[in-house]
Amino acid sequence: MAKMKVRSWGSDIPSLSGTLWKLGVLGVVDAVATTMIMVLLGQGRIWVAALSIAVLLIVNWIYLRKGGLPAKYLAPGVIFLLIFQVYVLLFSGYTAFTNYGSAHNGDKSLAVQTIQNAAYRTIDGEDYTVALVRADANGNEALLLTSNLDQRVYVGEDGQLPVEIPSGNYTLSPKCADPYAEDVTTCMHAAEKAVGYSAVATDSLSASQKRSYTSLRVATDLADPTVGIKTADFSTALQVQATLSYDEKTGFFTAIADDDYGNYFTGDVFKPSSDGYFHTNGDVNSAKLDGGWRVEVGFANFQTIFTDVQLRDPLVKVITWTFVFAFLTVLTTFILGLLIAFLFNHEKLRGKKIYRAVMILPYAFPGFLSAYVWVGLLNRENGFINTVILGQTPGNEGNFPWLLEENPARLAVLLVNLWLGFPYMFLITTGALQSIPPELNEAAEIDGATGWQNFRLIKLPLLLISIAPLLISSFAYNFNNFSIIYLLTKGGPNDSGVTDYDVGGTDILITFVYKIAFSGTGQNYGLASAFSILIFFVIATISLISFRRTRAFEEIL
Amino acid sequence: MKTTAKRVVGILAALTVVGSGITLATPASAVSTIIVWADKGTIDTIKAQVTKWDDLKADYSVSLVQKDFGTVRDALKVAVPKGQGPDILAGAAHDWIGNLVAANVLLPIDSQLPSNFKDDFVPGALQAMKYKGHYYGVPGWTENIAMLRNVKKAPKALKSVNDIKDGELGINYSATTSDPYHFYPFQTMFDAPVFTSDSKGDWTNKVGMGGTKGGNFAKWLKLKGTKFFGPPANANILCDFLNPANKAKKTGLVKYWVTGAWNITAIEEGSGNCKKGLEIGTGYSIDPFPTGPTGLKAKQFLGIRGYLMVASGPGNTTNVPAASDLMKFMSSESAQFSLYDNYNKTPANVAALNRAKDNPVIAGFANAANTVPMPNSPAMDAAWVTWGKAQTRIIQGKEAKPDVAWEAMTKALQKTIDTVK
Repeated sequence: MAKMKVRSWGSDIPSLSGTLWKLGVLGVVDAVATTMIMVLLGQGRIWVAALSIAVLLIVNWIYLRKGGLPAKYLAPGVIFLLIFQVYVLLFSGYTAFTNYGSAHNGDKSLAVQTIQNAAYRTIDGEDYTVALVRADANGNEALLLTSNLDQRVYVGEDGQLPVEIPSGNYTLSPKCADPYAEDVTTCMHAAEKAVGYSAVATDSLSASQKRSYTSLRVATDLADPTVGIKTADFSTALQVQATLSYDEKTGFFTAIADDDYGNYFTGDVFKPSSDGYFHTNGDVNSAKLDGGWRVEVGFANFQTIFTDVQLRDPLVKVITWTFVFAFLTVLTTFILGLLIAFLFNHEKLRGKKIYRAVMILPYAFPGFLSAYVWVGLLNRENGFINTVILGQTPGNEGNFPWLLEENPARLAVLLVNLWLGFPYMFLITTGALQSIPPELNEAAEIDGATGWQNFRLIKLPLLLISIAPLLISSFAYNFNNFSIIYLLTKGGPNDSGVTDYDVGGTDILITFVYKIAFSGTGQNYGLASAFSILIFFVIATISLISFRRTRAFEEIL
Repeated sequence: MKTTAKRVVGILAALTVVGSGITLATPASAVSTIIVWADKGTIDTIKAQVTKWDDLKADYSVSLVQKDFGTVRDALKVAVPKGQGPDILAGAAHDWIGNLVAANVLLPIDSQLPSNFKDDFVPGALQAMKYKGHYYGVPGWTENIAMLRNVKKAPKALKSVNDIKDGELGINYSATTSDPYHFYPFQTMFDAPVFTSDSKGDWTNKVGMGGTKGGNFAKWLKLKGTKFFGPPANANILCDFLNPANKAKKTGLVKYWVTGAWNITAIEEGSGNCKKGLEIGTGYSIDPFPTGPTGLKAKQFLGIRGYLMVASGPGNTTNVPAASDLMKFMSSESAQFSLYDNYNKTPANVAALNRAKDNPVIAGFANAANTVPMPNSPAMDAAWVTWGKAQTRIIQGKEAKPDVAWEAMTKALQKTIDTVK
């Protein structure tokens, strides 16, 4: 096995301009990717950056080396496939096994941070206007507190009791919420520095200095480290009490004071639980702290789909309607498209080209636009369909409720989809019809077949050979035809019965899933992902069975 | 050899481009940016005031980012866990707070609010920013609905809801989900509040609109029906309210309109198909709601649009002091008065509101207000659709036994709330 000469067509010396072009394009790609990697590194997203670097190196290797032509053609496609299909699929697959959603939208550290942010209560009493200072003697950070009650001034260091500063050692200056206020007499007055303490400019502090000032606690009771005067915004200080303490080692929250709202009482221990919340003693049935995180929940989402009583009725309704909608759409558009195709395929018809062009218009028109136009046409009180075609009184609320009641809305969706869909069927059947040899037609006529027999026994089976796969794909497309449903009715009308889920009369599975995932108040990406996986299996099964069965048509020839 | 040379040149060329990429990607800025998310209307409203604050703070620059009002909450829930959220959410409706707190995206600001600051606002406004014992923002402006009256068609203010005849009332509601917000004054005429209140007057999570009182309201809704409330999704209310009555054509019959300040411009300017607009006082008047069929006083929801402090997510930034300063500035008298002055917003700041009261529209809505703050819990969020669906079915006569349907709705709602909780 010596090196074969097969590579020769790749190893020819390329033209200079070709090489320059390649390098130029590659350079641009490298530049963009490097910028992206720098940004990622800047954001501290090391793994994504490492992956990008690896991909970038591979891409450069593929295009700079000699030969390996197939890789050069395939690389961009494969990369985009990985990003936009494989990754998305894997991510949805993973999400289906988590409780990712509105209340569980981050990792545990975010939940801990949220709980810690709110783990204090303010104690009614004196409040202070604050200035950040540094002790001249030892450089310690301190808060200069001017009481909003009596304008007395105190200085406090971390963990120390506040010390009053004798008047004369400071000057009060106005501090207004509105920095443009002309009349400063009504504004609060506060000291900015005092003898022995120099002012620290708030705006120029580094992040760590800011953190150290916000965590500075001036004690009010040396025996009680949970209470103290603190500032969060460097202009106001209040007496606050910590209500929860977090133990980094065990990962438990312990209540060290009663919550004003009655959520917990001193001594309660909250442990991370399997449902992505901190519960008392880790028991999912007892009280929890607000602040959830994303956890893997196994098959819980799938279990919900099959066992939730609230979900069952709407789901059965939605699934039935999805099949009916997809099937009837394919059937009606195909029949109409076929009829028109036959009509305009007639040899003696004149001006066929014009007719055909006109017939394609609904297809050529952007579907989004058409859908919105139809919403207007189908308006109950003043729509064109009701007032002109059906001759009902304009402005009358008793007119036919297209889009407003369940069955009329379903009819409307089917009609509009017929309008949008028949030109496609017309196009493909016209093409298929023209490919049927005219001799067959003549042979049938000679054999004495009637027109109907000719159509049913000869043309239709021949048509179906080439068109059946397209019908199946049309079914699969309409099974997930989100845009037409969402633009026309948003899945509504939504006035039947009461369930927890936002589900309307024309909702198909994909719009229902969209609503679960994105609309309303409690987004539930986990459940929606589980649904989309099920939808995938339904469509895959239908397609598989249908494609197998279409082989039967091929045996006719 | 030739090809090797070419490849070396090529790699060098690529490296040069890479190098220029690196220099481009290195940002250098000492000024911290405060990011504010807001919808378009809010940005137009607050821009001048924010710029004023910005000019004063050399070390900070404010960036106003436009977001869609309907989806900004979802965007926030996605952005914050990645550390890409804003510092402030401006123009937020206060009833979002519970939902956003549950999603880990808000930061409490209790320790930033001195007691004299808390006294600056109309009753209920700052309270509306409080959820489960913590304040999450400051109020900007308030919104409430009132009973608008065409003075020429109805010279006298209404005393009782019984005095309204069929066809005289205009109210906006959807065919499928009604609009419990606009119907709330009628519901409270039957003493059927959406939730019960605790001893402090705070809303609880217990549905309060069930029982006989709610049932009576449901029966009354069915009795009045679309003859009284008009058809759902009626786009002609504005014209019918503005135009003089024409009995033959059945137009211009609407004398009273349940609506808020957002329709005032349309009323004063008129619109394409209608007669020209009306002027307050001589043309239209803003009245309190009439009493109910049994003499009970109606209550409206007080809606507060405000500024919420957003938690920074991982990689805790330290913009809180500056963001807090900006929020306090936006809630100060001068800033709120300017929003009124230029954009007709009803200030939540008492001092600004008192200065604004020489404006008859602001005064009208303030005087008409017998308000309760709209609940800001996730329970409220969960309620709207279920509540509205039952309401609209009853109004449109689709329920044979309205009180039974209403009771079923309250039960289902309570169940939903309990599971959400």
